Amino acid sequence: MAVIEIKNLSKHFDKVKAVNGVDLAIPEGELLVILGPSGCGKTTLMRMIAGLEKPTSGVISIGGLDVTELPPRARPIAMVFQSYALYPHMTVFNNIAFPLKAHGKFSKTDIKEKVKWAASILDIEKLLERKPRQLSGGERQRVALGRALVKEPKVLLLDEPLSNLDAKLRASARDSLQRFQRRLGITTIFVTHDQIEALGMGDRIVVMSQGKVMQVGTPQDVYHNSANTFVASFLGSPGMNFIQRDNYLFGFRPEQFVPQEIADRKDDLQLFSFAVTRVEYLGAEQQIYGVVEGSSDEKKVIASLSSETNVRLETGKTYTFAVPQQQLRFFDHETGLRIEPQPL
Amino acid sequence: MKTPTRWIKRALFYGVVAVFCFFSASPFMWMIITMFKQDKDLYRSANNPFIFNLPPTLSHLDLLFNNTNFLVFMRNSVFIGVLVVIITLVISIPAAYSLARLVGRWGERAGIGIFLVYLVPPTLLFIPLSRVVVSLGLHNSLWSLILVYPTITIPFSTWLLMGFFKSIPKDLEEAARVDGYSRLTSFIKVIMPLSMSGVVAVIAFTFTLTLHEFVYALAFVTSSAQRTISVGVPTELVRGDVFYWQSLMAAAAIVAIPVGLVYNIFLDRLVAGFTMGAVKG
Amino acid sequence: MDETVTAKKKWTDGFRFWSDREDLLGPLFLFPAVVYIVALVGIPFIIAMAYSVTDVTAGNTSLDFVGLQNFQAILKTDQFTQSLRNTIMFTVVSQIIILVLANILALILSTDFRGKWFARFLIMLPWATPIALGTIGWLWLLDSKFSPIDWVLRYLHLLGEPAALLGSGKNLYYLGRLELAKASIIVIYVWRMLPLSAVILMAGLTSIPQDLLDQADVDGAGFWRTLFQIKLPLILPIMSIALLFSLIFTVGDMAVVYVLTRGGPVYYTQILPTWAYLKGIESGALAEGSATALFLFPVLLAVAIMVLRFSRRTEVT
Repeated sequence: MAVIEIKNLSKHFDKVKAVNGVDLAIPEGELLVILGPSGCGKTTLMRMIAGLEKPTSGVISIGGLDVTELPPRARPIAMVFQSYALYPHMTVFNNIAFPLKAHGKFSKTDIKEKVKWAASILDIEKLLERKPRQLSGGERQRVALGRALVKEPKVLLLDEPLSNLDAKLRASARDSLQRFQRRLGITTIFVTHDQIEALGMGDRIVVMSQGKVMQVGTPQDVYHNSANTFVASFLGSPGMNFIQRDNYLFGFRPEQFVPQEIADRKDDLQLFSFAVTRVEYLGAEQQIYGVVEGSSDEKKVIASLSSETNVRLETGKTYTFAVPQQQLRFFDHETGLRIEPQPL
Repeated sequence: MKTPTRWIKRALFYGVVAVFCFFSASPFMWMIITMFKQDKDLYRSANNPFIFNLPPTLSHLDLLFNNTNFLVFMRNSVFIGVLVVIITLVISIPAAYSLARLVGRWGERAGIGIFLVYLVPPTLLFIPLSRVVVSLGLHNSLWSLILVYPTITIPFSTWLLMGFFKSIPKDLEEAARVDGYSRLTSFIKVIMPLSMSGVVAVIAFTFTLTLHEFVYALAFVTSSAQRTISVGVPTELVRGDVFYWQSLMAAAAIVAIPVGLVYNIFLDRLVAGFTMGAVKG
Repeated sequence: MDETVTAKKKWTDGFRFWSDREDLLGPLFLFPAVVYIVALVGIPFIIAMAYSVTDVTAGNTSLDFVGLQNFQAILKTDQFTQSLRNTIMFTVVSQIIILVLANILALILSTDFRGKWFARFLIMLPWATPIALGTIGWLWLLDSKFSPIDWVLRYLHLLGEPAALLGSGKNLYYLGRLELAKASIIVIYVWRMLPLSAVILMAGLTSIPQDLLDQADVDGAGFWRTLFQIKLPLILPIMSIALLFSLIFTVGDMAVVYVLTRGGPVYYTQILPTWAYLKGIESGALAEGSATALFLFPVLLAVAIMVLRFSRRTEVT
């Protein structure tokens, strides 16, 4: 059964449609990632689930209860803010105990026990007497999680919880956050603009753009079977290459676009004449910029190759590149939606 | 070659600083010297006025405290100050929070409007307000000042606190709401404790503003027993045409210097209030 | 379904619901302040305007409309025109001096030097002190017989001797001689307002990004060039704010003149607020007093709007 059900949810700020007719159902225990560029409405969507923003129209229900009109405190949710929003004047203990005190029905010993429990799960027992400003970024994040946890919410909302950590810490934080979520089995919504976080952690990913849901699916689904050109170009770095033919577009991922010599011969190959304009060395890989000759628009196409490859590519020369037929994706020229494969 | 010019520059710099300091502080130095002088020393124009030609005395302080209404003025001023502080806080804290967080975009305009009220000088309004005070039966009572002073203190305090509330991250009160508090209680539980230094600054300014005020205190209150320091000292400590200069100077110095100290502590915040909107960051 | 209904009811009824509603809390929180300001600033202001066009007095409070008669009448009296001239003269001259000195003082206070804390304390004292008490100090400092300034002048043989530069009398009688009395008032205004303007300008100076000053340094600009071509233009908006405050507080003050000269000698140092006080409060001529008090309001309003516009427009950089 779905823990959260969202029906036709919209939020308009004056003329800006931040969220525009979103439908979503999230099953129990899932880690759902909402992914999109900044300004796509993902944070607004989460804030509406939390009750911090009032929807213009639509219905949100959590655990079968219509919560659309209810304030945040009446919803069975907890949230970790991007800034962690730890109360600077309280100790870690009091920060974590804050939601319990707000509830008003827990005895002092109950509160102590619950805080201890949350602290032990997150391994922050030694920090309980400190103030937030004495903590590192990773410790703050765990305190914020602890504060969310003690409420024993049905749903945990995470708003870009890793963006304040430095790059080296992020990989381990992704891992510990995911394991933590699996262990507790708590339904989690995770908002991010970082596709590595989304692809690496999500059970399912919701890709949003301009207030609308573009695609919902597993990481493999959204990456390999993108529903439209937006999803295809937003995922992957760099995103999918597109070439226009007649009244449709076809696309292929940069890592599938390789010199004919090193392409897998077993595949049914589609060949292109590729004029290289720039070779960019990036350490482990290299990116080759160029133009596919014979396409109706002379758009830049990018190929990602391992730096180890023994094919020499030089700027200003033209090579024959290949893409396996089954890796080609076709999209409608007008709507950008995925269509059936077309003859090339 | 280089060192002498640097030395001269330094001396020049400190010279300018000293001139400014002397200009600002001279009336106070003169007050402090005068208040301890004997009559026979003070009132001889041939005496060097900057030194004690006769031994200093405390008799004028004694006169001030025991034979004048000085302590009554003090008590009145403190009484008025405390009540005006309370009224100001009760009204301007919610108003500032409302303008900073609750009323949205027209809060900005309303905030500027409130600030403009601070620019309306008391000299513009004392005549009609004196009639208002009479019609409320508060004439010649310090309650009239308690009623009217918040019109000066509320706009500035609201403006100051508004800036303070705006500087607190919105996330904190949203976190409190998610944690189980209402809009109202998240303000009380999270924002208020974090704003205490702003509130203390407002208390200090409100209190000193009520001490400073002259126009209303002069226009609304005439009986000696109801007067404030600001009006009482310059008008009542003069008996007929006789000035008790030492006691007068003592009265001025005793009030001025502590108030000056308190004011200085909160100066930066005050300046921030004045320049808000004109300086970024 | 029942559970849903009761749960909803629990949260959407009464106080619990109300305490979450921004659209209700906002106006509610603002309401007392607005009522206070409207009742005790807005309405009195309207009363003042009404008084100024009627024949009301403290004895006869019925309002009979007389148009601009009050303004015509007060304009005919010497005392009023003298007060108006004085108000404008005192304000303009003191503001010019303040602006120059405040810039120098702000430059000094924005550098680091030994004893800065104490210097700042001394310099701020005039602004922190109740103005009436500060003026009392000046009254004694400028005493007709025992002024220490006179003593110093005599000591330096500049006064009180035959052929002395400042005259052979023993005293200068600062407050008894018209020009000296006017100058004294201006000096006190400068003394009082200088600290505020200086600290406001100082805030402006310290808000100039260090990058910009470093860039000027690299570009080879010296102290004066940096001052006149970088610093002063950048703090122009904040200078206008400082000027506005100092102007409003100077025009709106009556304590200095009231305590120092009471408008004397005769009425030659009277200013609009003290004259309005004498008319409106002491003689009960509410109509003429209000007309006097309001006389400069349009000018002040125009100046305030101009300054605020200017500082907002230039802010976007």
